[in-house]
Amino acid sequence: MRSMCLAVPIKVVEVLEGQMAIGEQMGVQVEFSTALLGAVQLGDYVLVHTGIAIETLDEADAQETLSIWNELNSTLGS
Amino acid sequence: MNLLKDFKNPVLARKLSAAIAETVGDRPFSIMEVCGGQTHTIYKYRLREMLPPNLRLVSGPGCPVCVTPIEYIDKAVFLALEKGASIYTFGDLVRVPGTMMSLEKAQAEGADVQPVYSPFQSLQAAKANPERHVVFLGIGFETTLPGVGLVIREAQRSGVENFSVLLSAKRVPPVLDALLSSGKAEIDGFITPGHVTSIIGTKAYDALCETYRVPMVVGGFEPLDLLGAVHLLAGELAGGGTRNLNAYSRASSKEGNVKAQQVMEEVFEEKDDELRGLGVIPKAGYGIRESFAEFDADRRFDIVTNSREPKGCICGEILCGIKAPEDCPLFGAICTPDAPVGSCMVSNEGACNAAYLFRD
Ligand code: SF4
Repeated sequence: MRSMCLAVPIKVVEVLEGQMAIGEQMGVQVEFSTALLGAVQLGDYVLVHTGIAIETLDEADAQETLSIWNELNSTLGS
Repeated sequence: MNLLKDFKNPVLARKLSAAIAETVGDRPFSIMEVCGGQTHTIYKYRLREMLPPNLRLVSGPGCPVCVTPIEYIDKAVFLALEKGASIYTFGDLVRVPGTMMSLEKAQAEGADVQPVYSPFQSLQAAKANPERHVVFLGIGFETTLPGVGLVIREAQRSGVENFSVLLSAKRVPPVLDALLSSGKAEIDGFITPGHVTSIIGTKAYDALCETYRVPMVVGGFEPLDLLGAVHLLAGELAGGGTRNLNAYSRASSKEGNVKAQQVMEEVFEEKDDELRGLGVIPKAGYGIRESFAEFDADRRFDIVTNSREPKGCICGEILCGIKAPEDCPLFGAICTPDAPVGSCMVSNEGACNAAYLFRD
């Protein structure tokens, strides 16, 4: 179990009452608290650590990071 | 998009590796990856082999199980065996040797020890079993603490009387400050821990970069996250830069998670605290505030311990970045994940554990 400082990205599949949500990770459903986030939306990726979502992942930002690294390739000419 | 797979892409990894070599030049530099989760990724994907030989990666102190003092284990064992408390804990902790025994051993002697994934499970157990006293072992850095704070707050709100937390809560910035001011480990740049930073924000490192003239870059936990962080650091090191940058901006911001910070502020207060191997560091820990005193196992119980560090273990020097696991005479011979001597061999985030699992 790698629980202590890792948080795993999980996709929100259901928003529940009482600041809880259900997410899916590799086909497994997990319930977690959203008390540390603002509202979560269906389809959001959130980082879940010890049963508590600690951050919403910014997908646009992730894409941008990847494309910056992709650019590196071309400037290196390889 | 598959957020997990994209950040493992081996083609991009090779390109980043080439860009790092081109950027850094040939002066020697040491970079510390602060978090144990990052150490694990570095060993697992053999990232050191993807870096030029003059760029050295050094493991840091950010493994919560590793830095928890042995006295803490002894206290938990005491609560379980002498006070009959039910101990709820993150799984790794049960295998850490105490002075007399581990929690696993205490369990074999009749103690009630329950591994849990979330602190909320321990509060549920307390509610469901009012005749027992449930102690949750609240260890960790800033990533884990807001959740522990939420549970303590919830316990008070719902008037639960048979629940307390044995806290060993650590803060990353004061630990880095202590490492830098001691001058013991010569570190030229830091990969700061991604998920701690999700909570505290990159602003928490501004003062360190300025005071010690050292660059820091937030790194995530996938191979590309780490190579991306090294790439930014290489640019700083080669040009003499000392900026505080972020290579994990999809999950961490300048301000961090304000709600989480508020929960921590409400429930905890800063205190000088001991980290295993590093000694007592000013403001490096949290205690439970007076207003939540009834949930503090240390205040609630008279705990008696007589703790001693295991002989020969050099976890302390490893956690400061002075020595590597392979420098320990016990490594792999006497100390293994099945029979750990020190805490760095137990958890997946410990440097000795990673070095053993992924050895050649
Ligand atoms: S190999 Fe074992 S005894 Fe040696 S430093 Fe690591 S944990 Fe301690």
